[in-house]
Amino acid sequence: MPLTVGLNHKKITNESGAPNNGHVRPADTTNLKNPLKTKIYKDFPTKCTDNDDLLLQIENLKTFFHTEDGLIRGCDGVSYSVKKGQTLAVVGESGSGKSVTAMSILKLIPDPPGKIAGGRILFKGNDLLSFTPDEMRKIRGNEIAMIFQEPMTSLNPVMTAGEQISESLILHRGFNKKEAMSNAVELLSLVGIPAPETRAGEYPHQLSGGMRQRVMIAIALACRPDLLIADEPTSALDVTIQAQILRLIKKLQKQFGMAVILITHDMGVVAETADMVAVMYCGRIVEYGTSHDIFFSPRHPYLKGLLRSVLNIDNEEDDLYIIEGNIPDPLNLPEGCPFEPRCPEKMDICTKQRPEPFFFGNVHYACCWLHA
Amino acid sequence: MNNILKIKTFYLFIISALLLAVISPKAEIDYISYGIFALLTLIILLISLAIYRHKKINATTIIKGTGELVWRRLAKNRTATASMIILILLSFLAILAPFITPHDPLETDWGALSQGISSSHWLGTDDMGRDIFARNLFGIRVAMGIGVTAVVLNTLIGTLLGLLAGYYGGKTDNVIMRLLEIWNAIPFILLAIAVMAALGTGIGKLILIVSLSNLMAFARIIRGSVMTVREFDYVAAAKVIGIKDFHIIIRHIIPNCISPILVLASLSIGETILVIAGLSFLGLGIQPPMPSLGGMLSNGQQFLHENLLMSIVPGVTILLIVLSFNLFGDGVRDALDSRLES
Repeated sequence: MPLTVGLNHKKITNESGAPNNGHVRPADTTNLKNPLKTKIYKDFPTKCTDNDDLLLQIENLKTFFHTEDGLIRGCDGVSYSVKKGQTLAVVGESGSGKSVTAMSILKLIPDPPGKIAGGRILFKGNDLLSFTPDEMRKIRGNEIAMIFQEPMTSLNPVMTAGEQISESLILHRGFNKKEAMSNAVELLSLVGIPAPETRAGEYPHQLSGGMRQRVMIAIALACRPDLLIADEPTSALDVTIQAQILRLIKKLQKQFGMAVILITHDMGVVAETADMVAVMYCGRIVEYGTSHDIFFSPRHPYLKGLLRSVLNIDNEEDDLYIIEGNIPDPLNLPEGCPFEPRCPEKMDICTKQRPEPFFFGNVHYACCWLHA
Repeated sequence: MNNILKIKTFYLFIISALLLAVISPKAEIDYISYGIFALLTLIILLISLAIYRHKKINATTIIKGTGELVWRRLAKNRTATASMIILILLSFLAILAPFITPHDPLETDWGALSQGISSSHWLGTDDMGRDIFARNLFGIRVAMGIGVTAVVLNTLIGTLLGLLAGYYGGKTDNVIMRLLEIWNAIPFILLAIAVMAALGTGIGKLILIVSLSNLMAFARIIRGSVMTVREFDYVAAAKVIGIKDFHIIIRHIIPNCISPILVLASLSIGETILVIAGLSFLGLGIQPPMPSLGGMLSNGQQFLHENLLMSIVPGVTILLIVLSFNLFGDGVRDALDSRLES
């Protein structure tokens, strides 16, 4: 998959087109050059002109984990929005808070130790954080669905594929077992499983990895959700299957007009699928923009490093670029920019003050003092 | 094929009923008893037939479900099959004890004290002239009845506590497990003596004590496996679909924790029977004159020189029951363990 990055540039511009995604900066951003005075990031980046198109809007979401060793800010003031039918890719390394943000949307953060400490999650205009557990259960699987990274462990080994797909249909649609099963068979053929009638009666151990991921997708899509959260859906699969699964998700996305939040650490996957990209680091979004912005004019040193470290078939250098160091201990994050200890372009201010978003155009922004 | 099988079983039924009518030494038995006897004989025959057929199935036959797979592995295991057959025979004897033996276990024959093996008393008589075979059968009946009931009760309560502790974790877990640890700190024999002294003896109390004393083992093991299963992605996936906790526990957690429960239950039946025998030996369990294996053993040790059968018969029976349950439990464990797949 990473090999395709260099070849996919054309595709990105073609598919996302001129990236006017409805995001418009708040009115009081006239003095862009000096954002410290205006404090624009409070409202950014979820202001939208046409709210009808807006499906999910996260504002300043904070999810903290109160562990015995101290407070871990799993997700610290994350804001993003997803429009109907759009794909948002959330990129970042392990522990950067991608999955925590996604699980916060579904309110499935294990509590204790986790807790959503603040912010708003607006789904179709309603704040999910104010929903009761019962109301949340009606949203889960029905309107927001999720697929996981590990198809090997995401299916219950003692239930057949068909039974697992029908579970959500019985729950949300009130189908009886027979109706649900025939629906499940339909769904299996929709996700491209040959001989769906036989496969529906089979147990997970009888299916291959790619097929299990297809079954997972069928489970997620059973109730035709408006939003699909895909948490590294291809990481555990081999490369040929990865491409098939991505293509399948894309095809179904178009067919059902659903929005997708794609969590990944594979820049190749991002290039292939995303309209918008959010780059996360230590629980914060460090750069946000259309995939065109992200790939052609990366601003944050972390993103630049990330892009340089991707395998490129045109690249004639022998050694692959690596970002030195590791992510900082989440218990003692640096006072200033969390990327500062690893940053090749660090300045004095980076150690002292947390950078705020600086804009380059309508939606593209990076949290880095370099661009102040 | 099916028809032939049905006709065959019908004939078997008739034949066993007639056979029983002929060989039964007890004249006053009514036909309903014959019916029950014949039906149970039939069930045993069918089960052995099923085992036999399962063994004959070609290895390439498609296995439909996990249950079938486990059953086939169990049937392939000779020790487990043998212990299963012994257990079935023993339960057969236990259930039909009154129809099998011509003697009442409480009936004393002062003309035949402490006798050896004879045609009227198959395994001799004890110091009060009671038929040892009859007492032994009724002893098996009591031991297995109490043992199985206690283990079922134990499994239910222990599993429930373990499930709650493991699934909800945190405070629930802490409260349940700490309480169980306190409960577990009380020595079993002392507890039994205390309860018997306070409430008096009786089978109900015996079952209660035996089943409640072993809660810790169940709760702990089930809590452990629930905690493992809880972290699996399919539980998260079920939550993501919006399934309620209760249904997640019933449909996703319990089926995946069933193997330790089954293994532990089948292993602890043997243990429980031993504990009951031990309590009866000490005079705390089943009270005379009701026959119990432990009580017979206790009685027999006073007459080791006069009549060895009084000790050997109940001793061997206890050994047989406990050994069969343990071997069966081992077989179940092996059959449920997917790593041992050949």
